[in-house]
Amino acid sequence: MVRLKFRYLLKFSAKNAFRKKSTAILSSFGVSIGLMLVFVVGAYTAGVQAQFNDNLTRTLGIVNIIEETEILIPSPDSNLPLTIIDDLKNTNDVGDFIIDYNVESQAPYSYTVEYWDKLENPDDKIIVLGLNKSLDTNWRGFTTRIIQGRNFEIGQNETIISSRLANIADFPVSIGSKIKLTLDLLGTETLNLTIVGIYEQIEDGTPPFVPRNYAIYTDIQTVWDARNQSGVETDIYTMVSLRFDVNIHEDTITLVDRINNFSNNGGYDPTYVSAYSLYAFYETVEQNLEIINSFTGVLGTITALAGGMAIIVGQLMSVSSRMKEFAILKATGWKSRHIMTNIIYESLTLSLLGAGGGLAIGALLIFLLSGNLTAFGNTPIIITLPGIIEVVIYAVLLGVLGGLYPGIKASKVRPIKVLKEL
Amino acid sequence: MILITLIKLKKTSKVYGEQNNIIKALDNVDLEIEEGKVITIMGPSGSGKSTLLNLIGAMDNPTSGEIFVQDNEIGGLTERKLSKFRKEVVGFVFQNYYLLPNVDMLDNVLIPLIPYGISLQDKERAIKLLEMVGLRDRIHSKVGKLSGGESQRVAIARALINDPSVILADEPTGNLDSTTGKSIVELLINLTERGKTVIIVTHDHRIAKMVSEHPLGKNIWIKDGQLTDDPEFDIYGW
Repeated sequence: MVRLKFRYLLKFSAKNAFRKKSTAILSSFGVSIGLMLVFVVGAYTAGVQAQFNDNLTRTLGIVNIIEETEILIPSPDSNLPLTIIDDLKNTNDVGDFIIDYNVESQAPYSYTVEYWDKLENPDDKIIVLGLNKSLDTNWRGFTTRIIQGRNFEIGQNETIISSRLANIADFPVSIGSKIKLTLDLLGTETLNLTIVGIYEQIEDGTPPFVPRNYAIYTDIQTVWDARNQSGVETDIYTMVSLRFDVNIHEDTITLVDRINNFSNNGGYDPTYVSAYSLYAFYETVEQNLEIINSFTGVLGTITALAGGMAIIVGQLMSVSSRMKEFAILKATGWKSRHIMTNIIYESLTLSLLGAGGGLAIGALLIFLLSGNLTAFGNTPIIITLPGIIEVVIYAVLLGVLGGLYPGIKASKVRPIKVLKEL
Repeated sequence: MILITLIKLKKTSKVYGEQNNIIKALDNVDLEIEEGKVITIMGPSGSGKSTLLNLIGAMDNPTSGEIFVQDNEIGGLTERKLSKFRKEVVGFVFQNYYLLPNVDMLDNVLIPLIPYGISLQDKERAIKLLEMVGLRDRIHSKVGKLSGGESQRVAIARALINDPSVILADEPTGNLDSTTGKSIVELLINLTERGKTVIIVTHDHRIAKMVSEHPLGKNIWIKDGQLTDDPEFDIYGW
């Protein structure tokens, strides 16, 4: 007859784990809170990672060109002549790889205090960018991602705004609403745009506490007129985007280096440009992700220690009050290791129950957070199997580590010593 | 009928304490107990009777001397062999029963087997033992609701689950009224019919009388750690 050793000892331990109900429940709850934290942070990290991977895929071969500057961010001060496209196409060992391009021009000073404190972050800004509709259509840019309303018409002072701006703005942003932006520091020159559409913005995982620019798009001639109105150089591009025919990100980097070297050697004289690949930008993001992952690891370790302490304290209390029981078990033939295993199984019961609670509370929290803009931003929080497995592994470690010392203490009981005291 | 010696103590002593505070619980005891006998170890409090029982059950080690059970010297057994000995050779019955309150009667009987695995045959045997002690109909009752006599019956069934050769009962009727105590002693005495050797530690003269009236019964008297065949003291005056 097969003896199911594991099953009966486990069943026995599971019953014993709740001998002291309040202590057991509190220990489990302590573990639940800790593991819930691990679970939610893990799910957030997984969401950021998924977004990151998605962005990496979408940005394969894409390079942005701006006028040479130390800070690689689009700016209204980046003046690229209209001839830059042909110059880039004619650049040796670069032009042949260009399969597509897009252009944009930014209106000056459009990020004024007009909408201060009406966005998500006090330092958030609205910027107006002009696009060439046909180029953007080929590029499959924002004008092709309208999810509400329609695209802007040329020369009509119409604009499309992002879905994120539509969600968070604390001022009218519905279709037909107007956005009034000043074009100079004094606010004497203004630009009035009518919102005609909302385009889908793909989240990049930036948390809300990081200031961001909300880009609204209109036609490039409208932006050039605005630049002219405010007295800055007009009929220029502030950024050109190229898509290269490459299969791996490293080839993109090579092409970026060629453009920058060519520019540094006066190849585009009198213009000097800076090229950068979005892959390089996401590499920085990846470093931040690693920091988040490390933080999660540290958090998990601290949680393990705290949860382990809760289990140890609970189990020590339980063991101390049950010494005569262990003495009797030994008197009936239980070995020291049986008693230790019993205590570890009891701890595992508590920690796994805590893991179940942590997963349940965490899932509820994730459900609630996913529905709103919160501290997690719009980043999707993804429940993954590895995330669940990670929580279970933590729980098992907690159970084993938390039960080890009380188990050793219980297993060392000398039946005669305890029974003589009775 | 040839009686085989099951338990043998040779010049066994047990001393507790150190230096100026020494208590000689057992003093040079020689004892032989034959298989299938029912024995009472009688004596006043502190006479050493529980110490003797604990030494036979390998719950404690003698300070000097040797103890043989089934021809095995148990004084120097390793922890592993001690567990095997306690599991297979002896079954304990305690004054306070020591049942686990959170599991039912059947599981209490099966407790000694839990770490080794429980087969259907084990369960059937446990049920038969509960039937033998008169508790067949309540096998799934929680032990917290049982009377003292019922609890002791469960404890006896637990002691028998591994089918040991020796049953060691330490004051098994100490917490019971006289009627219930008598039925428990009868139950223990009847175990000899199943080939068990039963050793009962008690200071209750009525138990000694019941045992002495049994064909396989024998009383052992102990005083100040030494055995005596013919008690010099009045057992009714303890």
